Amino acid sequence: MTMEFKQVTRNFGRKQVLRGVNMTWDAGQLYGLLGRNGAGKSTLMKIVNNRLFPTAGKVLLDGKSVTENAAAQNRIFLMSAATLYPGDSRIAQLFTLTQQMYGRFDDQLAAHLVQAFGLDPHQRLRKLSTGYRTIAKLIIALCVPCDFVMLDEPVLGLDANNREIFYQELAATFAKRPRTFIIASHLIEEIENLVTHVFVLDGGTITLDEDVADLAVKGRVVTGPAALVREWLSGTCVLRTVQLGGMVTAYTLDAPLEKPLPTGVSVDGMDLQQLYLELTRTGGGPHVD
Amino acid sequence: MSIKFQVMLKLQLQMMRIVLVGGLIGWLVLVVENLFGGSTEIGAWSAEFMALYIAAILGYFATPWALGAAFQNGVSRQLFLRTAAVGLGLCAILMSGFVTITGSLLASDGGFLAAMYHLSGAGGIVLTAVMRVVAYLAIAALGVAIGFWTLPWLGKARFAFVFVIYGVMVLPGIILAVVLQAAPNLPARSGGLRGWLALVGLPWHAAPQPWRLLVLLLVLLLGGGALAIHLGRHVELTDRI
Repeated sequence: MTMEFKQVTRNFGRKQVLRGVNMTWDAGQLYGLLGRNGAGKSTLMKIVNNRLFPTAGKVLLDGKSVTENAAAQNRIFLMSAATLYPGDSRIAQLFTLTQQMYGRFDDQLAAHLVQAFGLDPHQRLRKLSTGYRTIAKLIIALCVPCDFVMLDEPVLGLDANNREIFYQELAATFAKRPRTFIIASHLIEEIENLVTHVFVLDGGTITLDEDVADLAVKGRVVTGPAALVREWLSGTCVLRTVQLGGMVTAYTLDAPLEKPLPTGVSVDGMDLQQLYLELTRTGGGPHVD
Repeated sequence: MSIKFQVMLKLQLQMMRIVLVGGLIGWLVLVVENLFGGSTEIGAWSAEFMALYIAAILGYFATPWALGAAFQNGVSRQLFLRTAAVGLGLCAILMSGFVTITGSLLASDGGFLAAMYHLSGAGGIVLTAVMRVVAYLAIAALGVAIGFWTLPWLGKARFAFVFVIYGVMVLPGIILAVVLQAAPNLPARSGGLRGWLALVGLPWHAAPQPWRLLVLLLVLLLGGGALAIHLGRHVELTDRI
């Protein structure tokens, strides 16, 4: 069970937001989709969910296009920042609506989550605060029977306590019933311990497609006297260097750890947040032809 | 009929109900006003135009409103369009029934349309009701097409567009109503006014020709429907829904 993106391109007038995106989502994974504002994360998810059409390329679920494919769409769910449910509906009615639309709904989990978040299921959606509207949508997203659940900025408006509850509940439900979650978020430090694989979308293309475990090994920050650091890193791909007097800090994904480390030079690990910043520092935003 | 179809239809009707309730209040004001002030053709005429306007709004606003819920629940455009068509059909029948019934309350001759086309008796009432259903559906279909086409516009621009529709559809009728109230015999003498009457869907001559109007409305319905389906197959969710 895989979702394949083949040369997915999307233009908005003269703006090219996605430029031939290629990637694969496998079953039972927790993916992080990272990118700067306007990088095209939401556009990409909307294309998967058929809210938008690609200008070129296609998205395939088990080899079949997801575009106007009712069977495929029944296996895909997108929780977006925009609230698309009728505002007059009560939360419990939305649970029933989702159950009718997707055939099944995890009522037990919904009841548990309603209690955990302290949400009143009899309240109307439009009367809820921004945070509780997000919580209502999150509960639905965690309880749908879909194989691919996309969460676009899932913790928007949530306080620290509710974010903590969400991450815990997501991990728990994933452990109980593995399915694929794709989380697009700006709060990288909060999701780095949750996701198993990250995609970085920058300048309309995927610039990083790696397992988090591999990144932890690859991402290095090298600090020391400028000449020694440059010599030690010669022939490798350095993402960025910052010089301060005679000292330099270099960020790299392929430090030559097999080479002996010169005296005065230190090598440290790079967290996902730092790595993301280095990868997207010069990019971001849509490409304009 | 699948459950998904039924649920989507219910959502469509939920959106359409908001518009219908607004129209119903307007109609009731007319009915009550006429019950106290005596029945007038002008009131019946206003009811006809109000129904056409409601039909346009049902297509232009209510149908695209339901798109958000459709895409949130993985409903295909094909299913969405099918439920929209059924929903608009039900609303058109409901409105036609309502205007036909209130028409006889507003005017002793069975309402403006029936009077203009000299439609009387059971057959006349049925034909009037059918003409109304087809007219509302045709206007609603055009409303859906324009609604989909204008979706990428700014919200304010879309809203302003409604007033343009209102102006084009309703203002000529209101002006005619005022003119006819002041000078009821004017159409017999003025060729320009007869032309104006024709512009708002009334016969060129005094002779009844309901079938010709029915055919015209059917052509409008098929054309508007085809355009709505074409645009609906390519409609996308914008942030303005």
